[in-house]
Amino acid sequence: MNEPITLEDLSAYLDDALNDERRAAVTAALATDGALRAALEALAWTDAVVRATPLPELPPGRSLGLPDSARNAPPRPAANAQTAWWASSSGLAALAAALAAAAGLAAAMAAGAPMVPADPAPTTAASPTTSAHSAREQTAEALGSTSTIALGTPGAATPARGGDRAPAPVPGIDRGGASAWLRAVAAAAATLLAALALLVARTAWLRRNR
Amino acid sequence: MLDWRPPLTLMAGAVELQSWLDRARSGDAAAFERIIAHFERMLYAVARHTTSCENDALDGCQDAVLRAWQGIARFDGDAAVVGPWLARIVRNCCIDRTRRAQRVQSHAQRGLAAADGVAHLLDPNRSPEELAAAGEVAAAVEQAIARLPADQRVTLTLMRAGFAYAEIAETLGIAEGTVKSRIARARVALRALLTGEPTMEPLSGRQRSRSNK
Repeated sequence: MNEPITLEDLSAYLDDALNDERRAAVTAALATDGALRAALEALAWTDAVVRATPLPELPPGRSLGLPDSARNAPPRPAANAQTAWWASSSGLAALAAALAAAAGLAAAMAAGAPMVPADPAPTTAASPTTSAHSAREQTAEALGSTSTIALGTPGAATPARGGDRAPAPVPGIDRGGASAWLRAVAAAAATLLAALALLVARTAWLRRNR
Repeated sequence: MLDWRPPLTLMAGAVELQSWLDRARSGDAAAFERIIAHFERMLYAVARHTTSCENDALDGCQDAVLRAWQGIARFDGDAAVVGPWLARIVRNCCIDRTRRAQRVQSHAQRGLAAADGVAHLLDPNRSPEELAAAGEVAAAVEQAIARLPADQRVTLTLMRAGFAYAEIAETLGIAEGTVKSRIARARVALRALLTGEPTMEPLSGRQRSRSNK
């Protein structure tokens, strides 16, 4: 690898902040390249001038210290330190558990939804929507597989052979199942995003206050 | 050969600093104030180069001292990292104070507000020691640094305080590569500001064009 030497390399070379390989490359290039040596000297001169200047001092009569009120109120030891509940490990663990439980419940509810129309018992006392759905199922069963296919799966319009055919899927239930899965996935994704957002906020808070 | 001054952060012994830190953690205010006094100049320099207002710098430092005292018991680092920790708090406090006062300005505006220009240019043919002895350096350097973008100013200040690249990166929450880049750009800009010479060209571009011929 023969990457060109940059001003960044020369600056880091002055600070002894290059890795061994890069340092060797810069040293070798300096031995043969006069322009590179001139650039290094210019940077070194600038650096020496800057370092020859002391850091600015506080204005006369000013110094940094604690106000009396703080000096008389020592900080709490680490074990008793008060931390925002969402920034503490136990608080975060509790919240993560609650989020996981909520996600599980949401997923279970969503996945359980299509079980309702499959149960024949409530059909008679069901709402008009449910009744219509059940009537469509009953019609599909009465008409046999061909009609069922016509209702929902046009791509599979070939008549089934003989009596050993498997029962055809009921379109209403399939759509409900797919929808339930989508809801479950959406709930899980939302939960994950919420947990991620919380983690990012906590990290930022800790970084700022450590 | 250049004469490097000892970094500010190394002027007190690490053992002594660790002892103050241990005592401060257990609530010894006097020990905590010795730590602050040890880093006072560096902290003020960080504040001064984070805000463009001297009063904001002083107030930001005082906010930071109080915040550090409140957090010292939870600070789990050792003496080697207490400087970067304090510098980070000072910087955050100064930024908060500037934001509260709605005095956030663009880098260019801040640079112009801080200094109209470098009062007198330095002769690059004279050695830094010669210039320092003649008392020509300090004002020119401070004016030139004030014209740098804020990110370069604070990075350079930490470098002047003796921080290593890794410590600067930790303090500012940036990658070491970014520190390297900011310091290089600051040096190139300072060279032009201090001497009046044209800004140095990036060597990589020149070398690529040469190799393409």
